[in-house]
Amino acid sequence: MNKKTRSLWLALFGICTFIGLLSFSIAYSEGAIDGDDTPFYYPLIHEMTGAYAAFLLLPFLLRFFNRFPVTKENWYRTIPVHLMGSVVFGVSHTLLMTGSRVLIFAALSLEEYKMGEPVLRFVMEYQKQILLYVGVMIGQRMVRHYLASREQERRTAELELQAGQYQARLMQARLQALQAQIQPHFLFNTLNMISSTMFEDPARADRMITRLSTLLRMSFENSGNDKIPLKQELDFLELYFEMMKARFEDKFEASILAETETENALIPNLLLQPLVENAIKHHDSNSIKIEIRSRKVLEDLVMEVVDDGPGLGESLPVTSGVGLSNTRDRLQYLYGSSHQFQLRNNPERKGLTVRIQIPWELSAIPRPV
Amino acid sequence: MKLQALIIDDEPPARKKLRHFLKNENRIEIAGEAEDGIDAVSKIEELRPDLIFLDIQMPGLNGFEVLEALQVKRPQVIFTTAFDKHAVKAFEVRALDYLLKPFDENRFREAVERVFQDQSAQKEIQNKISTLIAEMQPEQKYLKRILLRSEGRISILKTEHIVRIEAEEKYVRLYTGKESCLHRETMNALEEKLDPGRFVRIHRSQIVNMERIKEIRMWSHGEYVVVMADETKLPLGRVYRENFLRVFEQG
Repeated sequence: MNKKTRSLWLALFGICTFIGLLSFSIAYSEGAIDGDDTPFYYPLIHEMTGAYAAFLLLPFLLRFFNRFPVTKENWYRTIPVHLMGSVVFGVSHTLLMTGSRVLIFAALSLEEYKMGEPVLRFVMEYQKQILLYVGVMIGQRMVRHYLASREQERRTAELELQAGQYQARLMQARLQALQAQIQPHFLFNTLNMISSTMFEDPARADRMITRLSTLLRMSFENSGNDKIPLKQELDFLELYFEMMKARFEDKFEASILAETETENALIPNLLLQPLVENAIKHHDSNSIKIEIRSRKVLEDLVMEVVDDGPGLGESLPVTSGVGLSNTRDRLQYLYGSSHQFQLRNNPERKGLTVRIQIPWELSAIPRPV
Repeated sequence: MKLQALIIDDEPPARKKLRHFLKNENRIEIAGEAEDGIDAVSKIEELRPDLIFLDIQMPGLNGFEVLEALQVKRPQVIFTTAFDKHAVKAFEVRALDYLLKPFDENRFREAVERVFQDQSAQKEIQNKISTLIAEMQPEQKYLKRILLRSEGRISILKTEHIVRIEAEEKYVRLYTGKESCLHRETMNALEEKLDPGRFVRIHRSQIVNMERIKEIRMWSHGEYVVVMADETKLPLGRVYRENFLRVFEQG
């Protein structure tokens, strides 16, 4: 018996005791008014045995009510059942009550208990018992109804809270997706690279400025949670990689291995770029190698960002990075349970693979890029 | 004599630009270049430059970590950074000069002129840098990595990879499984910096990584022997027993 049911039964016991004492008080004062001088313990024993006999029968009664609930649809079947039930309850209650009185009277060496004319006794008690029977039935219903509505309220409140939190996180993810397009750190280092190139190769510097402008333009255009063909994201990354190669020269290597058919598949815009940035940010050496892969697997599009950095270590907070949790939130929002987002260390060499699997969707018209 | 300068930046074009500006500065000679934090520490210790141009964000060790790791007198520093709110704020608070990339030649000259200020100004700048370094290392409560120096080579050892540490006079020997290396630091000094929930002293000359313990065997008379993952058996000193068993039980 758990704590809750125990306290429930304690409460029921308390109620029965209270009703017993109240009935005793009524019976005794009634006797006193009529000048009856029966000692107080006679009505006390009478009423208390009545109340506690009912308490003992309560578990059966409650179970019976659970088994045969009266509803609009079944009343013609259940009401006869309850009529019979009330008779059984009445007979058991009277037997219990009178039986216990006989025993108690004997134990206290009082005069012998007399139940009087048995049939009359059963009929008389039954009139009270049927009230009790219906009372318990109504009481049980009311308690049930109250508990159910309270549970419903709690659940609604919980759902509302969850939805609120989710909404807040999503807004943040959207905002960050907007902001994270081009990191200031990337932008200023690229500008520094261009300013350095200018002294010896103005034509190259000019080309770099044009490329950087294209990159910025693309990132301004692709905002919000629109979906774009993978090809568009890869073109963006191509430019990004070109800037990185100019900055780090032979220390930065990147390759894109995309199956041709995946180029028209739709992905959330700027999905891969934060992952690439994250890989560069957490890299522990100044030579970086990044690989982007995409392929169709059954009805899904699978994309992978593979780096050669430190990977997941016990002391590395890579998983908790803002970049990754944003990606997780966005995918959860857009695809729910029909996506996968996994991080795992490369099996054969150093580094991390971030793998994203989303449902295969094609853009209606292959957009010119 | 010309000032000897070292250029430290992980991006070749950024180094090239500094080289270009320094061509017109005849008071300074370029002693060398370093392309990441670890390279920087070893070049500074080897070349002993008078001045360094130091980038903040670099893989391995960042600019502040480079300064902290130095075991030789710290040269004069001109910080360079592209975008680092945290660092820039720290510079501003102390009125320390720094170059924001991209910078032009005029701004560059301005920064260089400060290097030729009088001695007392220099000393003040160095003091500011010292407090800055201490402040820029707040997050790690315990030592996460150790800089190892051997025959002119510098490498980083993550403390989580250490199996045990053995005292060798004024040095300590760090065991990482198959290999071991000597590190110039005393047992007590190192112990203070390590996470006490992970690295526990079991003997006057032994500290063990709790995560690398295979088992503990009880011998007669309440003597314990600690068996490490690499099968090394180490006696558990009486003085250290209580603390060790407490940490061990807390898991």
